Amino acid sequence: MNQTLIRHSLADVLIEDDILLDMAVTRKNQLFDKVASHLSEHAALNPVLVSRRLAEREALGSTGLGQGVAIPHARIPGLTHAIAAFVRPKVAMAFDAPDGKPVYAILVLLVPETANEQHLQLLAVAAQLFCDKDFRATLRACEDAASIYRLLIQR
Amino acid sequence: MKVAIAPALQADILADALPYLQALYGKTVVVNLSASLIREPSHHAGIARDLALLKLVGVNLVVVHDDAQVADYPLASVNQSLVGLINCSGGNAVGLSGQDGQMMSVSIIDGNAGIAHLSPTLPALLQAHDYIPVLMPLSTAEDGEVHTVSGSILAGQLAQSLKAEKLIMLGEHAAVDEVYGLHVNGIISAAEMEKEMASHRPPAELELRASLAAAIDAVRHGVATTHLLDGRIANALLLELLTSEGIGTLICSDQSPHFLADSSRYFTGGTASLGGDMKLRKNLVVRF
Repeated sequence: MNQTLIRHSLADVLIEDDILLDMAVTRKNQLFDKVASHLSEHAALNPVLVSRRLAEREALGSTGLGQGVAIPHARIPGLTHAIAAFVRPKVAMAFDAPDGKPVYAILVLLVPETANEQHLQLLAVAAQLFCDKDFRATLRACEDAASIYRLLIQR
Repeated sequence: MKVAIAPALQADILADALPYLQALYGKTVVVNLSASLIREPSHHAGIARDLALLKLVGVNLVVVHDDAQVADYPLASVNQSLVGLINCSGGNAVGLSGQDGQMMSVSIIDGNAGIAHLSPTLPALLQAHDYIPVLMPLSTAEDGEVHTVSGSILAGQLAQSLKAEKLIMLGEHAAVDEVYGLHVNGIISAAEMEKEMASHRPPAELELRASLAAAIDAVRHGVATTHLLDGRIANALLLELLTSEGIGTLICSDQSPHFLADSSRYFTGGTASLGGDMKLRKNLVVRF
């Protein structure tokens, strides 16, 4: 039986290899396919399922927070612990965010199917971070994956 | 003194605006200039330049201005001045009143002038030919007399009938977040804003309260978002529309995506939720 591991911070779920910059995507489905493909390489996941689960969550309401940031997330069967990827599209993309503005910073979060309140708390940590104006300003100024990674895990 | 921007940086800044321009291209945006802002002509040239720029990059604009409510600056003069300033910046502005093309009629109830009828046909026609309609809020009532109505109410109703993407209220007031002590990251739903207004004493700026009421009504009748901005800030319109952060308070409809509520439902089926402070709260579940 899979044991679900609870992870509470971005430092626990993100590795530098999963900071994906200048991704050539213009639509959500494209984004989900590419991220699913990338994360499935080292997490032994079915990329089609991952992409579909992200799209299903998105259908409940956009995961765009406004002000250019979004946190798409999904519960994934077979996943034992939360994992994440950060994407900066080549050009800010439409995300149906409440402010109608395109997004330039996207944190994708995958959690086990049995995701519960602890995982919601992990999402809250991420949302809190992305809702911070100073954090967003620093994030926009980051020029490479290493500096973005350091910024994301130090909070 | 203005800081000189290197040409390469200037080009970068313009290139960064591309996705925001794409998002607004061909969309209708109604802009209301409040009475307090109208009384400060020093801000008008900058606002007119920003309006011309937005029009030239493909935003369909309609401008509604309030009456300055001062004897030495009559409504028609305000209208002519704004039209002239927009035209000087390269926009094709056309001054209108509610009388033109029988766009609007006024009714008097308990001594107050209100909008009895409003047709978007004329402003839509002008928009379609790349003009910027600049509308003064007056028209004729059944008694044959000409009356002025609230510019914010007219702008809100016009935004609804034109199925505008955005309604922008430019005023001369502090940010709504500060006035109400909100921690909303600049975005709030109509229901949340209404709750804040009910639980606070009316702010000193009654004009702001009127703008908020029109803003809430607009997003409840088809306008995607309403933005309340301090028009005294240089390039307020460009900062709000063409940058990720914006500078004002954005009111969205109650049907807009709500990240915290939607995610709470997704993860816990409603047994817990995330509050605005991002803290987890157990919801009381009553079972029969």
